[in-house]
Amino acid sequence: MVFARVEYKKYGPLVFISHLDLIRCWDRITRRSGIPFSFTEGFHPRPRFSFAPPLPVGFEGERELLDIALESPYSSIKEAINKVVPYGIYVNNVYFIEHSDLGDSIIGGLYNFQWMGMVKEEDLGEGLKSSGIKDWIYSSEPLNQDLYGFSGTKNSLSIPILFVKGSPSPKRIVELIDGFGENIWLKLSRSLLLEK
Amino acid sequence: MNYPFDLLYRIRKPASYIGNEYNIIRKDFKDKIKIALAFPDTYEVGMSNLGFSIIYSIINSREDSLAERIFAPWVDMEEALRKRRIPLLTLESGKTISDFDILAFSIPYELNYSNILTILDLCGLPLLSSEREGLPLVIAGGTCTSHPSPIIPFIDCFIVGDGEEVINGIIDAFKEWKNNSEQKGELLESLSGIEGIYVPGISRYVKRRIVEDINTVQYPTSPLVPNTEIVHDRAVVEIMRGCTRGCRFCEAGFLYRPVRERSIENIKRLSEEILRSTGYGEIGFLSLSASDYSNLEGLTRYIEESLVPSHISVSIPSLRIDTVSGDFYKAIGEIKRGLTFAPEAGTQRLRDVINKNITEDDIFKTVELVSREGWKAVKLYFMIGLPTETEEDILGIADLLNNIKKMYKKIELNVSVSVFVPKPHTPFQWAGQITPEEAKKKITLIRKNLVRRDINMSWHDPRVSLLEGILSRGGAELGDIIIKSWRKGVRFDAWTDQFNWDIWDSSFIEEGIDFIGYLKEKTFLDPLPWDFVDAGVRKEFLWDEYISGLSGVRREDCRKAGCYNCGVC
Repeated sequence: MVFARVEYKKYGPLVFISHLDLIRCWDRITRRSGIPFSFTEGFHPRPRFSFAPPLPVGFEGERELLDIALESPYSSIKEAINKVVPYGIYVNNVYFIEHSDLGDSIIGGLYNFQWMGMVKEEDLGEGLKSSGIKDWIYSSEPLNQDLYGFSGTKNSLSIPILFVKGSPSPKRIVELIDGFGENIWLKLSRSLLLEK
Repeated sequence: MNYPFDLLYRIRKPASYIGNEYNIIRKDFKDKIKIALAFPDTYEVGMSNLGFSIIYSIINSREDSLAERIFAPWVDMEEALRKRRIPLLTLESGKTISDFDILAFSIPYELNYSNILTILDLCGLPLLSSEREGLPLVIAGGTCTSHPSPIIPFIDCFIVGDGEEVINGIIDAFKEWKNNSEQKGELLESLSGIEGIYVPGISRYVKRRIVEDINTVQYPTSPLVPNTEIVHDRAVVEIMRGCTRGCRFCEAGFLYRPVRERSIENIKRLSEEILRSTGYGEIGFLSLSASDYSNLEGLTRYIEESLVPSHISVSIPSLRIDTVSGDFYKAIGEIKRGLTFAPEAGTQRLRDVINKNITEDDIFKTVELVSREGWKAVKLYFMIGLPTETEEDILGIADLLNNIKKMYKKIELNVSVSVFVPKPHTPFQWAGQITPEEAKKKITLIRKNLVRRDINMSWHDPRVSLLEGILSRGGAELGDIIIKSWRKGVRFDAWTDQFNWDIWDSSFIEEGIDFIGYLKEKTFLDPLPWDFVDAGVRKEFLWDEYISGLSGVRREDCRKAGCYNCGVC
C-alpha cells in the first residue's frame, strides 16, 4: 500500500462547504476518477483518507493536502482527478509516499484575512497581542473597484498559526476584527505550512 | 458565486446557495423556453426530491428548453436579501426571474404553502395570479395539486399527476404560443386543453395524468451531486411507482396507482450510469412498497454480484418486514441499526378498519428478528384520531409497547405518534380529524399507561397536524388566510422551530373563519373542494371503501386478490 499525497486548492463557491462536506466531496471525486484507490471494509466502504486540520467555513485553501491510500502507484492521478472535480477544487500536484504522516508533516497554516472596515491599526495590534498572537503582517490599500464593484480601503492581515494547543483559532481572529465595528469581509484563506 | 461573499459568510448554511454542483447544467439562454424550477423548502429538502430532479433533467435534455433552480431561502437569508435589496437568483446562472418564461413550483406538502409566497415575493412578482399580467407563467406540480384550492389564487396553471409527459406538452404549447401571440389568455386556453392540466377560471375539471410505462420515460442518469449535506444524499433509482395495498388513510397509495414497475434491466442500466456519472457510494432503490416489486430476487442478485463488490452500499426503503429476513439485509449489504415499522393502530380491529394488514404476530416476528440479529432498536409509527377509534384502541398502543418491552428488555423501543389527517382522494377523505386538545388527551393516556419508562415516545405538535388538516381539505377561501399569515411572518411551517400557530390562529379570527369546521366529518353528498380533480379512482369506490372500513372489512392487494374496480386501470 502506498499513499497519494494530493496538493490541491479549495476556492470559489466551495469555500462555504464544511469539512464533513469536503470529505464527502473527495469520496465522490475518487470514485469518479476511476483510479483503483483502496477502500475500507464493511457495509459503508470508504476511501482511506487522511485530511489536514479542517478549514473553517468561508476560508479558501490555497495549499491544502490530502493523503489517499491505494495498492500501488498509479500514473496520471492528477489529470484523472482534475477531470472529475467540481468547480472549486483543483489539484496542483500529486506525489507518492510510503507512510501517511500528514499530522506530523503539517505544522500550521498561514492565514490571511481581508476586509473593509473602520478598524485602526493600533487597536488591532493590541487585540491580537492579547489573543496571544506574536507575528502578523498588516497592510491596507485601496480596493480594486472593478473587481468588487465598490470602492474603499482593503485591510489585509496575515498570521501564521501553528497547530498546537493554545493557538488561537482563525474564527477568533474574525470575531476580534468584527468586534471593532461593521466590516465587509472580502476574502479569507490559508496556506498550509509544512515542516522543514 | 451569485451572492456577495460577505452576505453568504454571515448566514446559516451558506453552502445551500452556492450551486456549482458536479453535473450542473448551464445552457445558453438564446432561443430557448426558459423555466425556473422552484422548490418551496430548503435546498437540503428540495435536492432530496426525486420528482424535482426528474423534471430538471427532462427540461434540460431538450434542445429548445432549459431549467434552473430556486429554493426557499432560510429566514436569515431572506432577511439579508431584503436588507440589501437583492432578489432571488437561480443557482445555475445567477439570473433573476425576469429572464425566464415559466416559474414552475414543485409542491409535495401543504405546509410548504407559505414558502411559495416567499419565493414569489423575493422574485419581485405579485402574489396573486390575477395581478400578474405578463410572463413568467407560474405553474405548479407535485402531490398538492390534486387538491389545489387553497393556492389557486397564487398559481396560473396546475399539473396533476405524473409530470414526465405533460412537461413536454407544456413546453411545446408554450413554444407554439410564443411564435404566434402575446396574449397570456391564449396561452392559458391552449394549456387547458392538455390532459393533466388545470387552469383556474378556464378548466372545469382535470384528469390526473398517468404515465403508462415508466420504463419508457426519461430518468436522470447524471443527476446533480450536491456540495453540501442534503436529507437523502445518495444515488436514487425509482424501481416502482404506485402501491395497491389499499391502506385507507394513504394519499400516496391512491394518488399514484396503478402500480408500474421498472424492469430489472432498466434498473441495472440506470444504476450503472448514475453511479459512474456521480461517484456516489450509496444507492437507494425507491418505491412505495419495495416488497411488492415482482423481481426482488433479481434485484438482490444484482446488488450482491455487482454493487457490493464495487464498494457501493445499498438501501431499500419501504420494505415490508414480514417478507424479509436478516440474511436479506446482509446480502444487500445494508447496515441495520434496527428496523422501522408502521402498525399505525394499536388493535387488530382498528388496523382492519384502516386496512393496514399487519398482525400482532408480524410485529413480534420483526422484533424477534431485530433481537436475533443483534440489532439495537425498533421504531414504531402510530396514528391517533383514526376513524372509529375508542379508548380501547389507544390503550392498545400502550399494551402493545408494554408487551414488546416485557419480552425484549434489551431492545431500544422508539415510538412516534402523530395525529391522523384525512387526506383528499382517499377513502377517509370524509372522516373527521381530532382537535389538538383531543390529541393531547390521547397522548397523555398512552404515556400514563406505559409501564416501562425507557420506551421513547415522541410526537409532533398536534397544531402542525391541525394546520395540515385545514390546508388539505380547505377551499379557495384559505388563500386570504395564507397571505395574511405570511405577511405576519409565517415561514417553513413544516419545521418545528419555525412553526407559529398563533399567527395562523389570529388570521382565522380576523377573517371570521372557524377553522374547526375543517375538521368535521363529511357525508357523501357534501361537495368536496377537490371534486373537480379526477384522480383516476372513482368517488363511489372511495365511499364503498370508507363504509367497508368503518365495519372493519379487510381488502387484500388487488394485484393478488383480484380487481375491486377502483377505476384507475
